[in-house]
Amino acid sequence: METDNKTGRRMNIWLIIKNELEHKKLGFITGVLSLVIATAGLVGALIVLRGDEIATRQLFIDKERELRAEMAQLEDDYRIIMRNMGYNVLILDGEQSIPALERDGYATAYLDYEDVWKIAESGITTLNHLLPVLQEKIFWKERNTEILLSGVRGQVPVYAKPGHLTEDHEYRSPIMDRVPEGKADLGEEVAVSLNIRPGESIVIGGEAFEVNRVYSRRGTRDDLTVWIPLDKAQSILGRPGKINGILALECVCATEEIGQVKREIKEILPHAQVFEFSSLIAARADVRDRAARLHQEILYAEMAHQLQLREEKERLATVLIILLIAGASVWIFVLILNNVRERKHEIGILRAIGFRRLQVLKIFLGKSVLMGLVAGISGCLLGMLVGVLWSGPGLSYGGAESLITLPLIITGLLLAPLLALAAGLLPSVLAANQDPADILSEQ
Amino acid sequence: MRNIKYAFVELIVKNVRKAYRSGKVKEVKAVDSVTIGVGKGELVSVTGQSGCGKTTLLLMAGGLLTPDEGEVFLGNLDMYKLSPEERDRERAVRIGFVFQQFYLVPYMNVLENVLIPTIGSNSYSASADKRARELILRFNLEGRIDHKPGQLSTGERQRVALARALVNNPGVLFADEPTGNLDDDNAEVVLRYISDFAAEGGAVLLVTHDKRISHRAHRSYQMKEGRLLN
Repeated sequence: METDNKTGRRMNIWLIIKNELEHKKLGFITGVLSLVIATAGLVGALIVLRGDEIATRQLFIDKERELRAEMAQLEDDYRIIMRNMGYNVLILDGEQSIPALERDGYATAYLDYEDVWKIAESGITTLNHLLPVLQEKIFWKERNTEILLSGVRGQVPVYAKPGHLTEDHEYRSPIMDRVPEGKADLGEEVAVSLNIRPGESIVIGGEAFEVNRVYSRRGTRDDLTVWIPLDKAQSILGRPGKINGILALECVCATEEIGQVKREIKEILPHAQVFEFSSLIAARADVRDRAARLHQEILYAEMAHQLQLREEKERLATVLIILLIAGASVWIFVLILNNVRERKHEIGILRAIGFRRLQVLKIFLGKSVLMGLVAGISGCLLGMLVGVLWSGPGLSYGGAESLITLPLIITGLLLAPLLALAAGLLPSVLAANQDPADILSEQ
Repeated sequence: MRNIKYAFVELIVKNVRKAYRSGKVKEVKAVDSVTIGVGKGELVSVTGQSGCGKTTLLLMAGGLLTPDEGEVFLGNLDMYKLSPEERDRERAVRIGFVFQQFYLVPYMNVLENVLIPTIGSNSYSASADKRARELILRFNLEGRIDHKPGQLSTGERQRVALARALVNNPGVLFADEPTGNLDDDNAEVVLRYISDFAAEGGAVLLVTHDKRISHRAHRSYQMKEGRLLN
């Protein structure tokens, strides 16, 4: 059983290693330093790269969020622009002949006013801005001219799309403003030809209206139209509770499949038919797709740039780490080899008095590993400190705990001992294989 | 030559030969057909000029250098029939060495130097420690127990080396020019301790160029050009 001698030390291989290290401090310190630099370099570089990765990922997230917001704004702008192009869906009674509609300019088959509410309350999401219309060409006998009389009310809210609505279930951004009670809006051709200005009173079918506004020229039938509240139009035209069309805006998100809206309306109003202005729908889809593509291209370009920067940093770090590790390995090799040369006679006497090769090997490898262990701990701590200090953005995003992981610590702690073991192996084997007879016969 | 008083032969070197060759240089016979025996309690000296093959003979006898021919028996063991590891183990527990250059470990103190062989033989214990301290006391080194070799005189260093050789209670002591670096007084002290070891039953093979030593040996041989002359 081993006991301590007077000096309090145990007689074993580690005592030889420890005493020799104390005797040759400089060699030990320089060996440890080289390994500390290599370990700190590796750990620090890995932390900086990890911090960079976190910062890059966060940058992507921020950039994507920023772009998404910009694109949402852009898409909204497009939506408004496209919406201003007018309705792109017209719901008619199933009996309505389309050629007759084209010929007359208005429908001659009628829907119930309640039909528009059935659509609005059905939960449909493919349509927006439902506008019930009762429109007929009449002879305006008070002014002795033909006009299109259009009875409208405010746009009926589609309740399944609350984001478009105010708390009072009015559209935040209506395509067409409601015609106030007792008022009339005029197309430009009507107003100019009859010299009517806003604020003037007009009479249509015996009903008096004040001109609310005159729309600027559109180059369509709208220029020949007079808009009045729906109930008044129903009264004047003698069609109470009736409408002859529902204008609507097909939702951008639903245009992936043109025609889907027809199937949905058919389920709600089996007696109705849907007329889509396909060119407008396609234009809306195209605009949305282009916006989305632009969004992706900007994001991918930014990601590619960041990845390229990261790859360059990784390459630089790899070269640096390889140099540090190679330098430390060579230095440890030289140190141990020199140590073996210096201790040649010591090896000789130890072998002569019965030390086995393995025991001599342990003396030198033990020294290498001890250097590695001290350097592993010191280098790991130093590397973590330097790495964290150099990882500004990464540190601010994830904190130190996101940069310093268990695998990183294990890698850092193992690198130096393994490196020292590998670099010290050959000189240690040379020491163990020295022939004591050769050494001792030199005297 | 003094009378031999021993019961058993501890070491037999039988007809050993060793020659060195180096490149195109002619073969040099370092040891040529040497036979020698050392009994328990016997001190045998081999004297001769430098280069006559004394150290080669001692290294072969000590199990450190394989002879080209011949056998070496330590007790009943044929040393060179053992594996290198077995030979190391036998050397650690049954053989002590003393050299002219001392070969102390410079970074260990006197006590640690004396105890070093117990690491090689895995025999460090309280009794080994006690034995080391007894040897240090016996060799008048008690005041130097914590000193490093660099702080010792040459005589003290050789006494430490001798204590180290004896700490495992070996049966045989090999001494190669043990007084070569010592003045007459210190040489006398060291030789007395070596003689005491033999007197206590140990076997000693001592090689030296100093003919004055032979007066302490039970038997003394002259060696010349690798051969024993008498």
